[in-house]
Amino acid sequence: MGAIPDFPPEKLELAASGDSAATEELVRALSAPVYYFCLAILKNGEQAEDAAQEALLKVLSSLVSFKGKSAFGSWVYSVASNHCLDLARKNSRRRETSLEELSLSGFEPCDGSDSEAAAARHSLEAALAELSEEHRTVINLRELAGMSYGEIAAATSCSEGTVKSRLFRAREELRRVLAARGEKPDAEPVAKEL
Amino acid sequence: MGNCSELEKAYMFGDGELPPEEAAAAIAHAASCPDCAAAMETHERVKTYFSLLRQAARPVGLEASVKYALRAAAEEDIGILWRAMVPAGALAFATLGCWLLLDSWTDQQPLSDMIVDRGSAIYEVIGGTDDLLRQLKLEGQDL
Repeated sequence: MGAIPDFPPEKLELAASGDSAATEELVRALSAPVYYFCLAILKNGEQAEDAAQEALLKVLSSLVSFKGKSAFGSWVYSVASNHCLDLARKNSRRRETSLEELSLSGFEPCDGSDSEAAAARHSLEAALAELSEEHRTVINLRELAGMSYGEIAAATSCSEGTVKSRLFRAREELRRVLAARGEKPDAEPVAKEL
Repeated sequence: MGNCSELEKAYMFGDGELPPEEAAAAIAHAASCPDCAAAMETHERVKTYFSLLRQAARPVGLEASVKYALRAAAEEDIGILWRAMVPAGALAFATLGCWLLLDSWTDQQPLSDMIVDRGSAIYEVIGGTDDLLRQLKLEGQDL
Protein backbone atom coordinates (compact mmCIF):
# COMPACT_ATOMS: atom_id res chain seq x y z
CA MET A 1 0.00 0.00 0.00
CA GLY A 2 1.55 3.29 -1.09
CA ALA A 3 1.13 6.76 0.30
CA ILE A 4 -1.16 7.83 -2.56
CA PRO A 5 -4.54 6.11 -2.75
CA ASP A 6 -5.81 4.72 -6.05
CA PHE A 7 -8.46 6.90 -7.64
CA PRO A 8 -11.15 5.49 -9.93
CA PRO A 9 -10.65 6.56 -13.58
CA GLU A 10 -14.04 8.35 -13.58
CA LYS A 11 -12.89 10.57 -10.73
CA LEU A 12 -9.66 11.41 -12.57
CA GLU A 13 -11.61 12.18 -15.76
CA LEU A 14 -13.89 14.50 -13.80
CA ALA A 15 -10.89 16.31 -12.32
CA ALA A 16 -9.26 16.50 -15.76
CA SER A 17 -12.42 18.09 -17.16
CA GLY A 18 -12.24 20.77 -14.49
CA ASP A 19 -14.84 19.51 -12.00
CA SER A 20 -14.06 21.51 -8.86
CA ALA A 21 -15.23 18.89 -6.31
CA ALA A 22 -13.10 16.14 -7.91
CA THR A 23 -10.14 18.50 -8.19
CA GLU A 24 -10.42 19.48 -4.51
CA GLU A 25 -10.56 15.83 -3.51
CA LEU A 26 -7.37 15.16 -5.46
CA VAL A 27 -5.61 18.16 -3.95
CA ARG A 28 -6.64 17.02 -0.46
CA ALA A 29 -5.35 13.48 -1.02
CA LEU A 30 -2.13 14.41 -2.83
CA SER A 31 -0.88 17.45 -0.90
CA ALA A 32 0.80 15.66 2.00
CA PRO A 33 2.34 12.72 0.07
CA VAL A 34 3.72 15.00 -2.65
CA TYR A 35 5.07 17.43 -0.05
CA TYR A 36 6.81 14.69 1.96
CA PHE A 37 8.23 13.31 -1.27
CA CYS A 38 9.65 16.74 -2.20
CA LEU A 39 10.98 17.11 1.34
CA ALA A 40 12.67 13.72 1.12
CA ILE A 41 14.39 14.74 -2.13
CA LEU A 42 15.13 18.42 -1.51
CA LYS A 43 15.68 18.15 2.28
CA ASN A 44 14.50 21.71 2.79
CA GLY A 45 11.06 22.59 4.13
CA GLU A 46 10.50 25.85 2.27
CA GLN A 47 11.77 24.56 -1.05
CA ALA A 48 9.72 21.41 -0.58
CA GLU A 49 6.51 23.37 -0.06
CA ASP A 50 7.09 25.49 -3.18
CA ALA A 51 8.10 22.45 -5.20
CA ALA A 52 5.07 20.48 -3.99
CA GLN A 53 2.71 23.28 -5.01
CA GLU A 54 4.22 23.50 -8.48
CA ALA A 55 4.30 19.72 -8.86
CA LEU A 56 0.64 19.45 -7.81
CA LEU A 57 -0.38 22.10 -10.34
CA LYS A 58 1.62 20.23 -12.98
CA VAL A 59 -0.12 16.96 -12.05
CA LEU A 60 -3.56 18.59 -12.28
CA SER A 61 -2.85 20.33 -15.58
CA SER A 62 -1.50 17.16 -17.19
CA LEU A 63 -4.18 14.78 -15.86
CA VAL A 64 -5.54 14.41 -19.41
CA SER A 65 -2.26 12.79 -20.42
CA PHE A 66 -2.52 10.09 -17.71
CA LYS A 67 -3.64 6.96 -19.56
CA GLY A 68 -3.69 4.60 -16.60
CA LYS A 69 -0.78 2.47 -17.87
CA SER A 70 0.90 2.71 -14.46
CA ALA A 71 -0.55 3.17 -10.97
CA PHE A 72 -1.80 6.71 -10.42
CA GLY A 73 0.52 7.17 -7.41
CA SER A 74 3.57 6.15 -9.42
CA TRP A 75 2.66 8.61 -12.16
CA VAL A 76 2.21 11.44 -9.62
CA TYR A 77 5.58 10.65 -8.03
CA SER A 78 7.31 10.58 -11.41
CA VAL A 79 5.90 14.05 -12.23
CA ALA A 80 7.01 15.34 -8.81
CA SER A 81 10.38 13.62 -9.16
CA ASN A 82 11.09 15.27 -12.54
CA HIS A 83 10.11 18.61 -11.08
CA CYS A 84 12.36 18.20 -8.02
CA LEU A 85 15.30 17.07 -10.15
CA ASP A 86 14.85 20.12 -12.40
CA LEU A 87 14.80 22.34 -9.34
CA ALA A 88 17.85 20.65 -7.84
CA ARG A 89 19.74 21.11 -11.12
CA LYS A 90 18.73 24.78 -11.44
CA ASN A 91 19.49 25.45 -7.83
CA SER A 92 22.60 23.37 -7.33
CA ARG A 93 24.05 25.90 -4.91
CA ARG A 94 20.97 25.82 -2.68
CA ARG A 95 21.35 25.89 1.09
CA GLU A 96 20.67 22.34 2.09
CA THR A 97 18.88 22.49 5.40
CA SER A 98 19.01 19.03 6.87
CA LEU A 99 15.72 17.39 7.71
CA GLU A 100 16.74 17.49 11.37
CA GLU A 101 16.70 21.30 11.26
CA LEU A 102 12.97 21.30 10.59
CA SER A 103 10.94 22.56 13.48
CA LEU A 104 10.66 19.90 16.12
CA SER A 105 9.90 22.60 18.69
CA GLY A 106 6.66 20.87 19.65
CA PHE A 107 8.77 18.06 21.09
CA GLU A 108 11.11 20.05 23.29
CA PRO A 109 12.39 18.16 26.33
CA CYS A 110 10.94 19.33 29.64
CA ASP A 111 12.29 16.87 32.21
CA GLY A 112 15.09 14.38 32.69
CA SER A 113 13.56 11.46 30.80
CA ASP A 114 12.69 13.74 27.89
CA SER A 115 16.23 15.03 27.61
CA GLU A 116 17.29 11.40 27.37
CA ALA A 117 14.84 11.07 24.50
CA ALA A 118 16.17 14.25 22.91
CA ALA A 119 19.72 12.91 23.17
CA ALA A 120 18.63 9.68 21.47
CA ARG A 121 16.96 11.71 18.75
CA HIS A 122 20.03 13.89 18.19
CA SER A 123 22.19 10.81 18.01
CA LEU A 124 19.90 9.30 15.36
CA GLU A 125 19.87 12.58 13.42
CA ALA A 126 23.66 12.69 13.49
CA ALA A 127 23.84 9.11 12.28
CA LEU A 128 21.38 9.85 9.44
CA ALA A 129 23.48 12.86 8.46
CA GLU A 130 26.52 10.59 8.13
CA LEU A 131 24.86 8.42 5.51
CA SER A 132 25.62 8.86 1.83
CA GLU A 133 23.20 11.02 -0.19
CA GLU A 134 21.83 7.91 -1.94
CA HIS A 135 21.20 6.05 1.33
CA ARG A 136 19.69 9.06 3.07
CA THR A 137 17.33 9.70 0.15
CA VAL A 138 16.07 6.12 -0.04
CA ILE A 139 15.41 6.07 3.73
CA ASN A 140 13.63 9.44 3.47
CA LEU A 141 11.46 8.21 0.61
CA ARG A 142 10.45 5.13 2.56
CA GLU A 143 10.10 6.55 6.08
CA LEU A 144 9.28 10.22 5.58
CA ALA A 145 7.29 10.05 2.35
CA GLY A 146 5.81 6.67 3.34
CA MET A 147 6.23 5.33 -0.18
CA SER A 148 5.93 1.67 -1.10
CA TYR A 149 8.86 -0.13 -2.75
CA GLY A 150 7.01 0.09 -6.08
CA GLU A 151 6.43 3.83 -5.76
CA ILE A 152 10.09 4.45 -4.93
CA ALA A 153 11.07 2.34 -7.92
CA ALA A 154 8.80 4.38 -10.24
CA ALA A 155 9.99 7.70 -8.84
CA THR A 156 13.67 6.85 -9.06
CA SER A 157 13.41 4.96 -12.37
CA CYS A 158 14.86 1.71 -11.10
CA SER A 159 13.56 -1.77 -10.36
CA GLU A 160 11.82 -2.79 -7.15
CA GLY A 161 14.67 -5.25 -6.49
CA THR A 162 17.19 -2.40 -6.65
CA VAL A 163 15.07 -0.36 -4.23
CA LYS A 164 14.91 -3.26 -1.77
CA SER A 165 18.63 -3.88 -1.82
CA ARG A 166 19.47 -0.15 -1.65
CA LEU A 167 17.13 0.25 1.31
CA PHE A 168 18.65 -2.76 3.00
CA ARG A 169 22.19 -1.43 2.56
CA ALA A 170 21.11 2.02 3.81
CA ARG A 171 19.55 0.58 6.96
CA GLU A 172 22.52 -1.61 7.68
CA GLU A 173 24.79 1.39 7.18
CA LEU A 174 22.70 3.37 9.66
CA ARG A 175 22.91 0.57 12.17
CA ARG A 176 26.68 0.43 11.72
CA VAL A 177 27.00 4.19 12.25
CA LEU A 178 24.84 4.03 15.38
CA ALA A 179 26.92 1.17 16.73
CA ALA A 180 30.11 3.09 16.00
CA ARG A 181 28.70 5.98 18.03
CA GLY A 182 28.39 3.56 20.90
CA GLU A 183 24.62 3.31 20.72
CA LYS A 184 22.60 0.41 21.87
CA PRO A 185 19.53 0.21 19.63
CA ASP A 186 16.46 1.12 21.63
CA ALA A 187 13.10 2.28 20.29
CA GLU A 188 11.78 3.61 23.58
CA PRO A 189 13.62 6.92 24.17
CA VAL A 190 12.49 8.57 20.92
CA ALA A 191 8.92 7.39 21.45
CA LYS A 192 8.86 9.14 24.86
CA GLU A 193 9.08 12.49 23.08
CA LEU A 194 5.47 12.13 22.04
CA MET B 1 27.07 -5.07 9.27
CA GLY B 2 25.01 -8.08 10.33
CA ASN B 3 25.78 -11.57 9.13
CA CYS B 4 22.40 -13.24 9.38
CA SER B 5 20.84 -14.18 6.04
CA GLU B 6 17.40 -13.28 7.40
CA LEU B 7 18.27 -9.59 8.04
CA GLU B 8 16.50 -8.29 4.94
CA LYS B 9 13.35 -10.06 6.11
CA ALA B 10 13.67 -8.38 9.51
CA TYR B 11 13.50 -4.98 7.80
CA MET B 12 10.70 -6.06 5.46
CA PHE B 13 8.78 -7.19 8.54
CA GLY B 14 9.16 -3.67 9.93
CA ASP B 15 7.88 -2.27 6.63
CA GLY B 16 4.81 -4.51 6.83
CA GLU B 17 5.81 -6.04 3.48
CA LEU B 18 5.86 -9.70 4.56
CA PRO B 19 2.88 -12.01 4.18
CA PRO B 20 1.46 -13.22 7.54
CA GLU B 21 3.24 -16.63 7.56
CA GLU B 22 6.63 -15.06 6.76
CA ALA B 23 6.01 -12.30 9.31
CA ALA B 24 5.35 -14.91 12.01
CA ALA B 25 8.52 -16.77 10.98
CA ALA B 26 10.54 -13.52 11.12
CA ILE B 27 9.36 -12.83 14.69
CA ALA B 28 10.15 -16.38 15.77
CA HIS B 29 13.60 -16.13 14.17
CA ALA B 30 14.37 -12.75 15.81
CA ALA B 31 13.63 -14.27 19.23
CA SER B 32 16.78 -16.36 18.87
CA CYS B 33 18.87 -14.07 16.60
CA PRO B 34 20.36 -10.97 18.28
CA ASP B 35 21.33 -9.50 14.90
CA CYS B 36 17.77 -9.55 13.55
CA ALA B 37 16.34 -8.43 16.90
CA ALA B 38 18.70 -5.43 16.89
CA ALA B 39 17.81 -4.63 13.28
CA MET B 40 14.09 -4.70 14.14
CA GLU B 41 14.67 -2.42 17.14
CA THR B 42 16.70 0.12 15.17
CA HIS B 43 14.11 0.04 12.42
CA GLU B 44 11.33 0.72 14.91
CA ARG B 45 13.28 3.62 16.34
CA VAL B 46 13.84 5.13 12.89
CA LYS B 47 10.13 4.78 12.10
CA THR B 48 9.19 6.54 15.35
CA TYR B 49 11.64 9.34 14.62
CA PHE B 50 10.25 9.89 11.12
CA SER B 51 6.67 9.82 12.32
CA LEU B 52 7.58 12.67 14.73
CA LEU B 53 9.31 14.50 11.90
CA ARG B 54 6.24 14.12 9.69
CA GLN B 55 4.10 15.71 12.38
CA ALA B 56 6.57 18.54 12.94
CA ALA B 57 6.99 19.25 9.23
CA ARG B 58 3.32 19.00 8.31
CA PRO B 59 2.55 21.21 5.28
CA VAL B 60 -0.12 23.41 6.91
CA GLY B 61 -0.78 25.91 4.12
CA LEU B 62 -0.04 23.80 1.05
CA GLU B 63 -3.57 22.62 0.28
CA ALA B 64 -4.95 26.15 0.57
CA SER B 65 -2.20 27.64 -1.59
CA VAL B 66 -2.77 25.06 -4.35
CA LYS B 67 -6.52 25.80 -4.33
CA TYR B 68 -5.77 29.53 -4.43
CA ALA B 69 -3.43 29.06 -7.39
CA LEU B 70 -6.09 27.00 -9.20
CA ARG B 71 -8.73 29.69 -8.61
CA ALA B 72 -6.35 32.40 -9.80
CA ALA B 73 -5.60 30.41 -12.96
CA ALA B 74 -9.34 29.91 -13.64
CA GLU B 75 -10.01 33.64 -13.17
CA GLU B 76 -7.18 34.44 -15.53
CA ASP B 77 -8.73 32.10 -18.12
CA ILE B 78 -12.06 33.93 -17.82
CA GLY B 79 -10.19 37.24 -18.15
CA ILE B 80 -8.53 36.04 -21.35
CA LEU B 81 -11.93 34.98 -22.72
CA TRP B 82 -13.43 38.39 -21.94
CA ARG B 83 -10.48 40.19 -23.44
CA ALA B 84 -11.02 38.18 -26.64
CA MET B 85 -14.80 38.64 -26.66
CA VAL B 86 -14.90 42.43 -26.29
CA PRO B 87 -13.08 43.21 -29.57
CA ALA B 88 -15.04 40.46 -31.34
CA GLY B 89 -18.35 41.95 -30.14
CA ALA B 90 -17.28 45.46 -31.12
CA LEU B 91 -16.33 44.22 -34.59
CA ALA B 92 -19.70 42.50 -34.99
CA PHE B 93 -21.58 45.67 -34.02
CA ALA B 94 -19.49 47.80 -36.35
CA THR B 95 -20.14 45.37 -39.25
CA LEU B 96 -23.89 45.40 -38.63
CA GLY B 97 -23.88 49.20 -38.39
CA CYS B 98 -22.02 49.53 -41.70
CA TRP B 99 -24.38 47.08 -43.36
CA LEU B 100 -27.49 48.99 -42.24
CA LEU B 101 -25.92 52.28 -43.35
CA LEU B 102 -25.02 50.95 -46.80
CA ASP B 103 -28.41 49.34 -47.07
CA SER B 104 -30.23 52.62 -46.46
CA TRP B 105 -28.20 54.28 -49.27
CA THR B 106 -29.28 51.78 -51.94
CA ASP B 107 -32.52 51.91 -53.99
CA GLN B 108 -33.73 48.66 -52.57
CA GLN B 109 -36.08 48.42 -49.62
CA PRO B 110 -34.07 49.20 -46.47
CA LEU B 111 -33.22 46.25 -44.27
CA SER B 112 -35.00 47.77 -41.27
CA ASP B 113 -38.26 47.99 -43.31
CA MET B 114 -37.79 44.40 -44.48
CA ILE B 115 -37.59 43.22 -40.86
CA VAL B 116 -40.79 45.13 -39.97
CA ASP B 117 -42.60 43.73 -43.08
CA ARG B 118 -41.57 40.13 -42.33
CA GLY B 119 -42.75 40.52 -38.72
CA SER B 120 -46.14 41.82 -39.86
CA ALA B 121 -46.50 38.98 -42.35
CA ILE B 122 -45.84 36.38 -39.65
CA TYR B 123 -48.33 38.12 -37.36
CA GLU B 124 -50.98 38.03 -40.09
CA VAL B 125 -50.48 34.31 -40.72
CA ILE B 126 -50.88 33.56 -37.00
CA GLY B 127 -53.94 35.82 -36.81
CA GLY B 128 -55.44 34.14 -39.88
CA THR B 129 -54.98 30.71 -38.35
CA ASP B 130 -56.75 31.86 -35.18
CA ASP B 131 -59.69 33.14 -37.26
CA LEU B 132 -59.95 29.82 -39.13
CA LEU B 133 -59.99 27.85 -35.88
CA ARG B 134 -62.68 30.09 -34.43
CA GLN B 135 -64.76 29.66 -37.62
CA LEU B 136 -64.44 25.86 -37.54
CA LYS B 137 -65.49 25.74 -33.88
CA LEU B 138 -68.58 27.85 -34.65
CA GLU B 139 -69.49 25.37 -37.41
CA GLY B 140 -69.33 22.57 -34.83
CA GLN B 141 -66.31 20.76 -36.29
CA ASP B 142 -64.34 19.40 -33.42
CA LEU B 143 -60.67 19.23 -34.17
